[in-house]
Amino acid sequence: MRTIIVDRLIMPALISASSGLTALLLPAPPRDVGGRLTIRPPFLLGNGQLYPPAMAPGSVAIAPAMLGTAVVAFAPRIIVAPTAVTPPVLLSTVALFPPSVQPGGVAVAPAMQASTAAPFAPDVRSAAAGTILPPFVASSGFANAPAVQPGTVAVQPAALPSAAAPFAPTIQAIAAGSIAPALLASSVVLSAPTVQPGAVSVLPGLLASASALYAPMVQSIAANSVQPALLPSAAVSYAPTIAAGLVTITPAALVSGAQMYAPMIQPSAATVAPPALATTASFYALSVLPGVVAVAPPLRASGASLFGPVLLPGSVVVMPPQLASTALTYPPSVTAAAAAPTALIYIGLGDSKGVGVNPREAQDTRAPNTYNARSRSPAGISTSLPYDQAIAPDGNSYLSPYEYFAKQVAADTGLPVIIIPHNWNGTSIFKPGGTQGEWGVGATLHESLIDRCNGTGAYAGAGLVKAAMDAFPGAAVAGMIRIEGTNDAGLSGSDTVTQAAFFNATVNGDADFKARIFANGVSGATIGNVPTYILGLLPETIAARRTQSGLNVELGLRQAAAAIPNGVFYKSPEGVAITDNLHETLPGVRNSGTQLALLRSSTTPVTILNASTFAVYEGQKVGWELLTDQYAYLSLTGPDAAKFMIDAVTDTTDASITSGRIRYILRFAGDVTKTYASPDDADGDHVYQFTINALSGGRILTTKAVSLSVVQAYGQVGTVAASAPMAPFNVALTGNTGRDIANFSVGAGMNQIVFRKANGPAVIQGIWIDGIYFPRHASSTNEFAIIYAAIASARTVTARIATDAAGSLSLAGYVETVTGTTATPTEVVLVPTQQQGSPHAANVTTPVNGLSIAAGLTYQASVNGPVSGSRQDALTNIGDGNIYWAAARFTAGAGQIGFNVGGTAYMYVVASSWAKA
Amino acid sequence: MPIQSVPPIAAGYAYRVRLQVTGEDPVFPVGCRLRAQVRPFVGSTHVAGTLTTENGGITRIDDQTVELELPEALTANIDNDAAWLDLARADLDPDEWIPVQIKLPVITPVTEPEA
Repeated sequence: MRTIIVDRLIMPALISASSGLTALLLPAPPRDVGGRLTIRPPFLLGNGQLYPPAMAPGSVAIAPAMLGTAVVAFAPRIIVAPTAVTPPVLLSTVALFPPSVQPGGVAVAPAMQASTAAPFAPDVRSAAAGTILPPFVASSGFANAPAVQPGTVAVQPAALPSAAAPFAPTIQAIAAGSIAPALLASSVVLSAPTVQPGAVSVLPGLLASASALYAPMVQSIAANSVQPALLPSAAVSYAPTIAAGLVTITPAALVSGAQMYAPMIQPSAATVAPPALATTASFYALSVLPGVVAVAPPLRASGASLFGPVLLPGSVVVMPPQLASTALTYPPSVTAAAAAPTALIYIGLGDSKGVGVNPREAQDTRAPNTYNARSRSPAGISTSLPYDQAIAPDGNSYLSPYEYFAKQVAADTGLPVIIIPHNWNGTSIFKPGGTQGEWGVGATLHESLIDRCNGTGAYAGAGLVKAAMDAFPGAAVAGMIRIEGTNDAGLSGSDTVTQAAFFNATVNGDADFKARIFANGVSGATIGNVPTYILGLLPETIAARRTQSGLNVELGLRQAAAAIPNGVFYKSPEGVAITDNLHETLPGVRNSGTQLALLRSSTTPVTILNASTFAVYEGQKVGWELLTDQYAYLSLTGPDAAKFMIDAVTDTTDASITSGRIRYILRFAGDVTKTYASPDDADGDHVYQFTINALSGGRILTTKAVSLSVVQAYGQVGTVAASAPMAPFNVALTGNTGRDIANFSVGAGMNQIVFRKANGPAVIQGIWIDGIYFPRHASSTNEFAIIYAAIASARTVTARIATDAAGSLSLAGYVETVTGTTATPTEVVLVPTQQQGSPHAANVTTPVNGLSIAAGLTYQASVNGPVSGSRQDALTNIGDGNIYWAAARFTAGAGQIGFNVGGTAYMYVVASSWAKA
Repeated sequence: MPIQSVPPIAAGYAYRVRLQVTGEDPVFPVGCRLRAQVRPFVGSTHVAGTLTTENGGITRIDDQTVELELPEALTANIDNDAAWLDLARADLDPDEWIPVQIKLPVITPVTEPEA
């Protein structure tokens, strides 16, 4: 038998190292079962380090060791224990890390320390009452103040000799704290406390020369006052960091040689008044994070150095300092900002509406400082000055919102504004690969504008951007403008125009344009994320072309404005008479260019006017208009956002608007209704939660959290017996399977079923009859009468009653007695908003006056006539005085309803179908 | 180039090794964040995996030593008979490459790991 000895397989590895490094591979020791690295406590010799154990709850007594020179001891961590800790006596050069103590009554007696020792104060949490006596620290010692968490704590700072360094405590969430910093001798460095939410007054110390004060960091404070220290020369002050709150900062007056670091301010409305700086003082200006901040840099004397603020994206106004002679200024570092341009170039998309046509209007005054490199023919495009001076130069009356945009921008900035327009005839909507119809036109014109801007293709050597920059040295491309003739935008023919197609074409066209014009360096400009200003489509034109392109084209455009980096949208005006829906030149349209320009610098956030909660009943659709105080792009986010849709509809209910006003209606996705028994909201609690996001012109986002509750309805099944027209019939409750059948009953009258709530806290909000919802009238007293005419045979009626509270509905049976003579029925004509004469005589199956009844919609008609016969009783017993009439029950020729109305009432007709006689 | 014999990486199996790098200053100071990419050969566009101090692939032992742990998925993804790696300090801005490069042998085991 042979024995084969198998060595462990090893293979060569190559190691290369440079820069004075030597590398060696070592076997990795095994780990424990939990995969943790194994720590083997060292045998301690001189210069060793000892990490004591972490101790779990219990009563612990620790008798620390006497430590020799150069030894480092890390004190134990003690959790929840009434413990007395006596730190060791330390010799010189020893570093002691005191224990971390968690809730409990703890007394910590710090060690007596020799010079150069550094004690780290304990971390104390949730102490009911703690007293901390910091150690007496000899010169050159470092004292680390304790971190104190919620509770009432008195911190008695140490008196520090020169060169000692105390670190101020960190205090969190304290109800009322008073911190008296230490009096510091020269060359002392004091780190001020970090203060979290609460009302805190911080009184900084008086610092001697060469001291350095680190001011506190204040977060989320309702109202605070921070008074930085008075600093003598050579002192360095670090201003507080302030997050989210209203804070007033009054910086210290700095003497010569002093240095101050201005505060860092996070989003909020803050005003910072910098100090007056003496000669040779250095002021480090603010770092401003996104928010609205006004910074007024200091007035500086000669020799001062100013470091400008670092600005991150946001709306920031920086007023440059007044500088004395020999002062050095370090300009601010501003993200995506270049030297201030001397002229502004805007490139227009959008064809003939942007170029404009006749006629001039009285408001079209000549605007100085505006130029338009336009022409209505390619050969006439201006490539060098003088351009047409925008807005009504003599002999040229092609006017457009572009000119008004330019006019407003020039007025706002005082700079020349040059417009480089798009082409004419057709849409400017660029669809990559679009080869037919308007898509093809858009693609052609898109390329044409690129050529004209770049000086390529048919416009070789005549690039308009470069020409503008040559004419206005220092000019910069400031943005793009898309103003589309609505009729162009609607497209036609074989093009497929959907919301998504329109959105994609707009966004992709914008990106392609920016990339190809400014990436080739023709103009020397870089466009980055310059804004794109988009004007909406005329609502009346959209309404007129709805059958072709749909309202969603407008919605797609608005979504594009939100998707394009720095996109800005302004809606087109309403009520503009349309005679030319390519150019839309009548009064009002051009002014929308002005409005678009005003949005450049708008900092006013939009306000969402809708309530934060509302409710519907199961089986009821949602139709909730989203309202804002200014135009905003609206979107939904949140856990249940996908359950909803925002539907753009044309308002046909507001008589003051002849046509076309677009409203944004929130509906359930698919315009469905919900069933209480099967909620599909995210957490299944019948409360649909989402956030309305409103992006206003200056791209300022406002959000509002909204919850929609779906309320349970209660139902039962009843059978309506057969009855001849105009005769009383009975209602019998059968098939009582509804869970709340005991809560109500129904009565029957002539041609009607009456639901009445006798008492109880619940309020009847509405009734469904065979799936048709009758909402409660504003004047309802919790009674509903459903009038049926011509019930030819026994039928089952499913009635569900919506209440505002579960389980408390109580309906008393209502029995209608018809007395008197059955007179010849009065026939009621359904004529919206018209009162009929007396007597009424018409056939409801023959609508007159153009009344059109569509399935599923609710109509309102006024009926008026004299009181006659006892049937008045039947009607006056209807709770809200109105008649609810399910027209679906009518058949052609038999749809007569016989009653007289005592006074004026409203008749609601719900038609599931209608056959015109 | 120094050659050192080490156990090879078995493709599909986890592999741990310690790397000790000595120099004048601590190479792996306290708090440093490290990042190492593993490739089948220098210049390869294929990254078999990335080890970091955050994902547990690199554990600092002391100023001169780190422990590298190549998980199963990484070693299975090397697709070569060798694996190259080096390290960079990710806590510095910009990242700083540590001038040590290692080629570890990779062997394809007969026995595949249990799924």
